[in-house]
Amino acid sequence: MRRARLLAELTQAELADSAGVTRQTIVAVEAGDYAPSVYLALAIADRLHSTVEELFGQAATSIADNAREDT
Amino acid sequence: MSTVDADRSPSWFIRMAGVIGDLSNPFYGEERQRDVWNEASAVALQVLLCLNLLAATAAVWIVGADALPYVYALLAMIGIASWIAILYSWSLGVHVEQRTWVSRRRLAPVLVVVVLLAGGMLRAQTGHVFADWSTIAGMITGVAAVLVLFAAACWFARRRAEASDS
Repeated sequence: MRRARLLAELTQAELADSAGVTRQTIVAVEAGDYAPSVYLALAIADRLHSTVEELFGQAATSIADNAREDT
Repeated sequence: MSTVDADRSPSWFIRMAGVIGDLSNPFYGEERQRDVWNEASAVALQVLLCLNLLAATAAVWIVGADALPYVYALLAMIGIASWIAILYSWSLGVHVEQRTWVSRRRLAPVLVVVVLLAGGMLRAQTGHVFADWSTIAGMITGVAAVLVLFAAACWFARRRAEASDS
């Protein structure tokens, strides 16, 4: 996501403003410390002219893999 | 964004809880802020419950019978706060009474404190001027009534959950 944000030439604060969240939330999402809701993921993808799959696809796959290992 | 379904009109209980908890505050509109505050509130609730239990236990062992009215008040506060949290969760389809959610390792120290508290209360009560067999019978009946009510509430909540799942 960080790469996509830099490509879109947006700062974390600008992205946070346009997505309606705090900069700390964007920092946490980029660091992988926070999994955004579907609504926020869609808003971020929209602002970055990308898709949720492109931005979070890899993270979603690893979460699904971990869940499968746990069961 | 609240966890309350916007398409359904919330019950009076949920509306009242929303007012008490100030859940329409814009602070809750930011999802990570809300998540972090929810976690912080859960920690605070657990700390408050533990401190109340410890305070009640200490009071009943140190002060004795004179502390009993205050101990009952503390226990009532614990009970009301816990029941509001449980009922709020039930109302929104989250069933916190499932056994898998409480680990035995976490429950053990709480049970030790509860046993100490019960022992202290019994010791204080038996030295109390009102301690006779009818008082003790009343206490046993009261505890049994609370347990029956709790079992009935669990059964009712489970039935409601099964009905909404099907």
